[in-house]
Amino acid sequence: MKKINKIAIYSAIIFLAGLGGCKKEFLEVTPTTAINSKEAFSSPEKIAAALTGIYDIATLGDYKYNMILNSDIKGGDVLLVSGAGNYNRFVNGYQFIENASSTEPSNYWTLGYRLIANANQFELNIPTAPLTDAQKTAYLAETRALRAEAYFWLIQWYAKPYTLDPEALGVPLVLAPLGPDDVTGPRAKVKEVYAAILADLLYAETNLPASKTSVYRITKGAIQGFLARVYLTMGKYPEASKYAKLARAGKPLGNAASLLAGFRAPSSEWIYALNSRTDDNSGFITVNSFYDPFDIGYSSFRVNDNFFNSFAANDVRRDQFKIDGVVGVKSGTEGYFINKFDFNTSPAQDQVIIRSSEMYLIEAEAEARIGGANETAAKAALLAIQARAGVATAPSTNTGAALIAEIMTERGKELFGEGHKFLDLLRTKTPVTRATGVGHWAIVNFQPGDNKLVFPLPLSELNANPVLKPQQNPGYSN
Amino acid sequence: MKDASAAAIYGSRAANGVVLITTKQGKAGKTRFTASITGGVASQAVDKHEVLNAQEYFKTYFDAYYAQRLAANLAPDAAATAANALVIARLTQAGAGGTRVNNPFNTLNPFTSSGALAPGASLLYDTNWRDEVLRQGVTKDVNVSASGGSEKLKYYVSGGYFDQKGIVIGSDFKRYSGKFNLNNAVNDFFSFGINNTLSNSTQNTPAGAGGGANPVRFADIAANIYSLYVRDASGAPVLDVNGNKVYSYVNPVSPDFNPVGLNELDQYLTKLTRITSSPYAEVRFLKDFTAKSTVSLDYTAVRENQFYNVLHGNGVAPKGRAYRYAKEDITTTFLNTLNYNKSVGKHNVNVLLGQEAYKNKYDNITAHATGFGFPGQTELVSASTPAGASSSYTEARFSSYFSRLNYDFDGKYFLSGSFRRDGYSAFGPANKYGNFWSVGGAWRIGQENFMKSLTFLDDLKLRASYGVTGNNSGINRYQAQGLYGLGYSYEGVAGITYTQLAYDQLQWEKNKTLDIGLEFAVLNRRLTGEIAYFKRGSDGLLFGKPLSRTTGFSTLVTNLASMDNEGVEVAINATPVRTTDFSWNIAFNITKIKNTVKKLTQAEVVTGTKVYRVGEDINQWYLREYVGVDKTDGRPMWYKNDASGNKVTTKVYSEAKQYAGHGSASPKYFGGFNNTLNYKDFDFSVFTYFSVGGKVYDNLYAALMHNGISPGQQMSKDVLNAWSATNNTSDVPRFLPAGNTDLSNSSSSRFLFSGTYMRVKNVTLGYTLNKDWASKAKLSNVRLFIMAENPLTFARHKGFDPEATVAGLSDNDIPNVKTFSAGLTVGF
Repeated sequence: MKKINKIAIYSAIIFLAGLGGCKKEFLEVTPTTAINSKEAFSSPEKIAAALTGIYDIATLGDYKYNMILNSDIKGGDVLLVSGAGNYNRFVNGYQFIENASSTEPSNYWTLGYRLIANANQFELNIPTAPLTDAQKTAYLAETRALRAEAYFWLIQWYAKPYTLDPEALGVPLVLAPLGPDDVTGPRAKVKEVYAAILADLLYAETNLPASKTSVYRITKGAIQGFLARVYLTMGKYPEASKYAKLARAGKPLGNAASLLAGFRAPSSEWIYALNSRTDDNSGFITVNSFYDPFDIGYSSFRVNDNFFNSFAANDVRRDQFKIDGVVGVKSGTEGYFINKFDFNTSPAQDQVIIRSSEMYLIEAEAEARIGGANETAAKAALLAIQARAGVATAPSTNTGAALIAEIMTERGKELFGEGHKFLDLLRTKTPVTRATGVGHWAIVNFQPGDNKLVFPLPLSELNANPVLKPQQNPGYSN
Repeated sequence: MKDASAAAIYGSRAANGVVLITTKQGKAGKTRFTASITGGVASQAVDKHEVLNAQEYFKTYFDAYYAQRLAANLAPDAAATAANALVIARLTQAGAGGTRVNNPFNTLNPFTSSGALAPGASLLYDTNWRDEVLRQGVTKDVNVSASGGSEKLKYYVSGGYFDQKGIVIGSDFKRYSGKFNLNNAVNDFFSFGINNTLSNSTQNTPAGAGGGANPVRFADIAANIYSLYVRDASGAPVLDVNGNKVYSYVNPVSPDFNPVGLNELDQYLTKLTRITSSPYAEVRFLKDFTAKSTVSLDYTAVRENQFYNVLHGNGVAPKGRAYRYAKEDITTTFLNTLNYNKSVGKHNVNVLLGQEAYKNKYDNITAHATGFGFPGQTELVSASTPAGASSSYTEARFSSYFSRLNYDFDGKYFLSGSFRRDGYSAFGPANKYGNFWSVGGAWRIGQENFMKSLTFLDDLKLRASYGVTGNNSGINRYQAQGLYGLGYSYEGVAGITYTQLAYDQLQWEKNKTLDIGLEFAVLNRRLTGEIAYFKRGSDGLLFGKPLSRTTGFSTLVTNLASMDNEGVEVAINATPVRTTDFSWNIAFNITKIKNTVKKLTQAEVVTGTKVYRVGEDINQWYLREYVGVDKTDGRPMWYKNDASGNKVTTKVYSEAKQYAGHGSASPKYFGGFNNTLNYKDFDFSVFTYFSVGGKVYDNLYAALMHNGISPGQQMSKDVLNAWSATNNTSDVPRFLPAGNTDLSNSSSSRFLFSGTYMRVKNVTLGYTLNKDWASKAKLSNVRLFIMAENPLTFARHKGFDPEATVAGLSDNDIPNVKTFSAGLTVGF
């Protein structure tokens, strides 16, 4: 009997030890590094966090910073030092030899649509979210503006310029969340994408509360700035000029010294910027890292000799090339070092997206292109920029094409490194050419409409999406 | 173990074959000690591609520039002077006071118009970067154990020390380990015990991947013209105040990197402590039943230090950067089994019932700081700026119930069956559990009376099994859930983004294995063998369905694909000689496997360089198709499709289209043969492995064939044969010293080569001291051996380790090694 008892006791111990896995909820696990997507719009705090997340996507090094850098490196005023270093960044872009598997065409597309997909979740969820109507409208305004900006970048990289062919194939318009089994639409026309961008921006401009004033987030001014840019890119000059003036209201140009402060923190004229902090992980793929002249960052961007020499001796901005007290330090035969963007103090510097300078230059260009009596307004806007730079005290005496050319030159000097040059060449249907003997090691010569001026749709997209597979841009394999 | 019925009982963790671990237990009686010591040296198993020395590298550029200058109507001498200057400008860097850094020659004009070295011109140095980062590896391994005890209480204790210096600078590994197993039989029906292991290791691993800090990568791609040390005008290394040579960080391949210098300044250290403890209790009752309960704890603590110094390389911009990782990985397992063993007459029955609960908790804390004041300090406390702090915690849980029945009659007929039900926490809410089973049978035909007349046949056995196991690998721990990821902060405000789509249907992948084999033994068992057919099908593959990026996601893990692996395996074991003093045994096996994709989420799935299509091999290459060199201009050509879909050549890489039809990365067949010779107290064995068919993609060779695209980057000797107007039949595209946009070395079938190889994997010569002699010395056993691992490799494609490839692609990892070692084991 005693033995039987013992067996019963021992068996009970063993049985108890094994109970651990028997409860039904044993297999229910809750992630701690994520929340269930069903919960994402369940409280005002979570919705605010989801909006913050969209801004964070914009700060990923492979996305907006990279696009800003690429636009300058393709634009020609800026060049990339040759050599196998630099982790091959921008080497393809500089030489216009991307293919459908290349990194940049893949990243801009993937991250652009990721941002759009996150914004589209607001379209789906905000109407039923626990928010006041005013809050709902504010969220929709802000996320639509962010979505519009993402489409604006996409359409400029992956399609022919609106000014060249508004009927050309643009990019797929996704304005509501797509599930894994939903079939994506084909590429919309360029003009349809611009119509969607304008619709979002105009809705946002009407509905974004004036209380939104942070320069690091979408404000009414930022929306107006984008509207000025979009209209300029479409060649709609009266509207471009109108929104440029609205955008710069309350954002006066800084003094000359503000141009030499390294663009590391907002000055009075910054309308919209990305906030960079040391805990952000853009992995050094930041604008200031590539422009850094001290070989601390990537330090691989230079300006060509002609561009450097185009700055007058009394031009304040010439000091944007001053390195350790010397203006105009050459990097071998490959251009001049640039010291416009400070990287030395800290790699985490804010990135300007829109500032009043650009708005003055948009106004000047738009008015000059309207021409006639409007040239007076164009010259006044241009003078604001030239006077601050110390190169003029009186309005330009140029007219017509000469005035436009002067404005474009001024625009190049004022905004280099801020992501405009290549996109300017595209929208103005200017050939993309490089002179020999000025530092460039890759000479290119593309007329407007050349296949190489439009990115390929990434192969990863075409391979996953039979709708787009036959819609590859010409000159690229599918 | 490949047998389906054997694997099925072990469930999901058996999907890729089972390794049975037998715990060492002591034996009753006198304490037995065993000590073993092994030492060895290691070196790179396969030499990489032949590359250019400093003079050849410089001259390749010189020749190209010289031809260009001649073509520009310069006189030969002027052209040579101009070409020298252009090479200097292209490959070397500006130094202080107008000097040039990294000119390997003692003159700025090393070559004359004849292509010969100018009088007095000579090399100041020639840096073989591979030699600088590689060294002889050294391994020491010492183990001591003791076992013994009484009939009731048995123990096993062991201790080990392992010390390895890797073949790449900055790589080493040191481990201390111990084991303690105790078993106590309380009485004839109850026993308990505990098995414990403890190990502590310290590992330094140099930076990996494509960065300049990776010594392997850097040495692969840096040309010999870049100096290891800073040099003065005479070429002598510059010394610092302590008389040490100063490393040079100037090169265009990876500016401000020198892996040899960084090895002394940066740190990549991993410290790991692992403790496992498994107490168990066992009750035998009603004569034939055994119940056993085991509780296992597996605890691993990892500390990682990464430090990038302030002076050079990755840490300059943030003024020094350090990461600390603390990881804790805890697995607890409850395992209960009930075993029934019964023999009645010729019937033998074994039944096993079991239940298991498994829980793994993974906890990770990361801290990161920047801004170090001076070199030499790596702790975060010495940094000025906290740059990041993060933590994460994940869990995986399994719940399983299993059973197995083994039956045999008279050792002639065998039958086994198993069933198990596994639940895994990551699957969809209604799909966590899967049911798996197997059946197997064997018939020892040779034991039948009607076979007895066939005297040459010693044994003949037919076996067959079919089983289904579950697979859960390759997915994350919350894969079925829709997720908004945390940690996407901006402007100092916490944010979330949509990171994973929900997929409630996600469930176990089912691996179905059919195995039929015939085993035989003839000629007094001097020839034994086995021929087997197997088919392993995977249904509901855990497969990332590619999504259009316009959804905001790139993949969705589903069960929407399936594939088959079908094959035949033959194994022969022969003993041509068997005498008292001498025996010779040959074992040979060969396996042929064919893979076929059965079902996919869409007509075609492309993953980089591979394409999946229904009815075709899953490892088949999908590459731009290289045509060759255009003899008229030396430019590379590929195929593209024209408007009507015909294949036509193009010289524009971005137009080149990816095609299938280049073959598969999987071998057609593989196997091995093992020769074992025993003579008196000596034994000698050679094991050779072979793999035939299968294509490999040589990334490194592609990098070394850049033909001027990447100045400063090392080149293969094959570049010396590049196309030129006078060498217009060459199959190597033209070399251009600058402005080369041919992209001749971009990914294409040009760099796909045969993966066929044979490798002698192990040669061992051993000597076991005669028992009589050993006992005279009061020793129970003594064995001495010398061994070579991977001593010889015969590969169809040279310069490439055929075994080091991931999916057929070469990488930048530490190369495979060949080792020569010697060891001694003594028991007393």
